[in-house]
This record gives sequence, structure tokens and C-alpha cells, in this order.
Amino acid sequence: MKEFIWIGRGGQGAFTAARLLGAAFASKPGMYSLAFPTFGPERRGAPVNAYTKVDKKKIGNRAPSQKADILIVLDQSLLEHRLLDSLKPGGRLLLNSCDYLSDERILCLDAKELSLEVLGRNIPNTVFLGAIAALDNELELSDIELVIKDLMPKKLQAKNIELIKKVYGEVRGGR
Amino acid sequence: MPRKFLSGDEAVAEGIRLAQPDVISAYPITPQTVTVERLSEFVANGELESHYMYVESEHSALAAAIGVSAAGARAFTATSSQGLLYMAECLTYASGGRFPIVMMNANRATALPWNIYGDQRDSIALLDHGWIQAYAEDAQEALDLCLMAYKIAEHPDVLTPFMINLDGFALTHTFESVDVPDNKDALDFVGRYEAFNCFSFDEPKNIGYSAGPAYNKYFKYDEHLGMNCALKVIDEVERDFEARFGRSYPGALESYHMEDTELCILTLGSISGLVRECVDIARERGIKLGLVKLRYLRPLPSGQLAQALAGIKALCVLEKDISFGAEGTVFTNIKSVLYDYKIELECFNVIAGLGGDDILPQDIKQIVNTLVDISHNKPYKRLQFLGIDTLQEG
Repeated sequence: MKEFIWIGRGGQGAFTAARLLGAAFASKPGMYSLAFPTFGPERRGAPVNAYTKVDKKKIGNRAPSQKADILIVLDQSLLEHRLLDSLKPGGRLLLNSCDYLSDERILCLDAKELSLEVLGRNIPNTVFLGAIAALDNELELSDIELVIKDLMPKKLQAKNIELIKKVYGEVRGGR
Repeated sequence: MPRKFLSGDEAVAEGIRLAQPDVISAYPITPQTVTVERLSEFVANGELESHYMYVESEHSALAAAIGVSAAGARAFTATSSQGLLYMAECLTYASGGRFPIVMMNANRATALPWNIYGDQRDSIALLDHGWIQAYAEDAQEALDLCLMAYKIAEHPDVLTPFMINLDGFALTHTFESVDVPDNKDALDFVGRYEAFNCFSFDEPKNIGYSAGPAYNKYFKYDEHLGMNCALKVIDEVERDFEARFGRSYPGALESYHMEDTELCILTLGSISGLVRECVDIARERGIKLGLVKLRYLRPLPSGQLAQALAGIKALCVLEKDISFGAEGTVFTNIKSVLYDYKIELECFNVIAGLGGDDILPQDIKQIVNTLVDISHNKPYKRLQFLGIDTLQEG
């Protein structure tokens, strides 16, 4: 099973991204996925975790993932060193940051700048969907594009598709 | 059949949209809220031709549903936890009046301590109120139950209200792929409600009656027969459902790898998925483990349970409720079946998932180890709270 853990703050779209990613995988033949947030009262700015689990068979375990193949930190203030312990062997941590961290497991993306440039708003979640499409060998950019068309409000679709394409290109180019 | 990526709450809303109740009366409560929000949107945008009543409380929600049913119309309501307890008074009016209302209950802990997370103490506390109680494992089963519930509840031999239970958050707020039947296929299957006990000027009847000591027992006896009859109707309706939609359901319980097994975990609801995975892992290690998933707690499928459990050595009943001063209520029910059918085996009760506590693969593994030890005659504790009590004695 492949597991994605999303860490962000209320309003940054962690769960929306987890759900879109789950829907993208679920749309592929023979693939199953679950997507869910940490459960609880929702408040803007409060830490939020969300999860996307993906497998080639039906997923029975509905508990939050303990270890991630890809862990996405949408807000650098939530980065803690121990988060690296929740990566599976070979796992990656994708961090919203304009810094460069010299740990090969960590990939920094300046989602603030990227989203401001394309969307005109600081909403980091879709940036990382583009990055995941670039890193995951079972997912195509077109899978993400399809779920954006399917599940996002119409007026947000074009800009977000432009954004994932840009990030996809940058991550692919930088590998 | 379009495939959608839905939460359990949304799957119920889709199922109810397809079943087309005439009236929806509900009051929002976490974690049921999304279901009634979606239904109100369906009514507002014309996708569902129902009347939506935004009532002032859960007590009124079910009272209104009873009135709707008494008028010969199809009623739906949904609630959770304290909301279900608040409508408890009306539950027996609905079942005693033989009003085949369908209600979704998002299983959630009961206060105090106040807690919005999932466990099954709310519905299980109301097991004796005369409602059919089904427990869904995933969002697809939740949607399918919405369609089957009306057919079962409204069957003239049953006429019993139906509670569809979904584990709070683990089902209600988890998104997964769900096949959503076409409107016409769904309506062809569910059909229109033809009421037997409704207001009518042509055939006047007494509704909301009183019955003194001389007659009361006959009404209760009849309720009991109706509930028991549901077992047969559940099977019939599931066969019809499979013929139309291709998804098969195994009756009031599901046996998984129980054919040659020595050890068994019996449970209900969404945790069955994890236990099923653990059965596969244990079997790869040569452990003869099986799962019994109780899909319906009322009516209790005693005969099917006896058939599934006969011949095994050790049983764990894993449940998300506790009857204080006794044991888990599911465990009590299962032990009564074992006694009736003279099945001798070692059994213990694990109380877990209270207030939304996660049940993890390592917890199930520990239960499996205990079952193996018990089958080798090691001592064990009869009742254990997961994460508090140690499973083995000594």
C-alpha cells in the first residue's frame, strides 16, 4: 500500500488535495484509494492532517497512516525533525519552503511564490499535486488534470491546471 | 453506473436521493451533518422531489417522520449520538406503530465526556426499541443499504423501521469509490410505498392507539414476528438487488474463511475491513483464523451465527460498546446463541474504539495471538478493554 500524509493548517487545502489525489488514483483501473482528514472540529489556522491511501486491492485499514511514502508539509512552521521518522524507507518529504535543505529525502518547493504567481493567491495545496504527479510512477499529470476538471469549482480549474503543469515541469526538470 | 469518489455521508445522501422519500425531516449533528446538507441541496436544486423539513430538534425530526409515515408517505431522517438518544422516546412510537421509516445513524460516542468521534454505544444502547439495525462496512454498502432498507422495512410481513448505522468519521468522513445506480434502475428496484396503516377516509383505521393489559401483548408479539420475518426478507431483497445491480450481499452476516477454521473474530461495521486483512495475513502464517461480520444486530441471525460458529475452538467478540457492570452487548447476544445451540468454545470480549480510539493492525495481531494461546489452553481474561487491560492473564 502507498500512503500519503498531508500536514497543513486549516485553510491551506490539505484535505482537498488528499481527496483529489485519492480520486485521481481511484479513477485508474484496478486501483483503490481512501482519503480522509484528521477528524475533529475545523478551524482556520489550526494544524490539520489528511491522508491518502492507495492500493491495488480494497483497503481495509481505515486508521490514519503511521508511515508515509510521501509526506507533504504545507506549512514550514509545522516541520519537525521527527517527521522524517514517519517516512518509509525511500520515502520523500515535500516541504513548502523557499529554503534548500541538504537532506536528499526532502524536496522544497516554494508553493507561496508559485501559487501567488499563477493563482494570484497563496494556496499551496495544488502545487504539491503537480509535484506528486512528477514523482509517482503510477500517476500521470493527466490523471490530476481530470480530477481538477471533475471536482474543483469551474472558475478555479484553468489556473490550477496551469499551476500543476508548471510544477510538474519544474520537478521533472530538476530531478 | 457512474462511479463517484464519495464520503460515507455523501453515499447515504446519494442512496436516499435514489430511494426518493416523500419527506426528509432532520436536524444536523456531527458526524451526520454532510448527509442532510447534501439532501437539502438535492431538494433545493430539483434533483430530488422531496419535501425537506428543517425541524427544531431530533425529537421533532422523528415525530415528523412518524406523521409522514402515518399519512402513507415515505419518510427519511438521520441523526447521531445524543441526537439519537434525544429521539429515543419516538423510536418506540415508530416501531410500535409499524411505521417503516428509514433512518441513518452516524455512530458516535455518547456524553459524558463529550466526544464527537465514532463508537457504537449510541445505537447499541437502543437495541431493544424495535428497529432493524444494520451496520455498513464501507460507503458502497451504506448506499446499497439505503435502497434495500425501504424494501425490507416496507414489506407487509415486516413493517418495521430501519436504522442504517455508519461508523462516525471512519465511514462518514472517509472518501472512496462508490458505484451510484441510475435513477430509474434504483426506483424500479425500490418501488413506491403502499401503506397499510395510514389515514384513510375510505378505510378508516385507528392510528396511535392505546392497548391495555388484555391486548398489549398481542401487539408486542406481532412486532417480534415482524422483526423475525425481516431475516427472510433481507435475503430475498439482496438476491433481487444482486440480479439488478450485480453486487451480492450475504444476508444478515458474512462469514470469511469460516469453512475450516479454529479461531474467529466476530465484529461489525467498518473495522471488519481491517480484520479481514488480518485474517489473510494470519492464514499466510498457517493460523486457521476466520471472520464473522455481523451485518444486522436486529434481527439477530441466530441460526446463521450458530452455523458459522459451530466447530471452532476460540472466539473473540470485538465491539465498540460496553454495557457498564456487564460486558459488551454484542458479546451477550453471541453468548446467548452459543448457549441455545449448545456450542462449546472459549470466548472473550474486547472493548475497543471507544470515543474514536484507533484500532490498528497490531491490536488485531495481539487478539490473534491471544486466540492462538487460548486454543493451546492458556488462561485468558473474559473481558478486556483494548489498550488498558493486557489480553493474557498472568
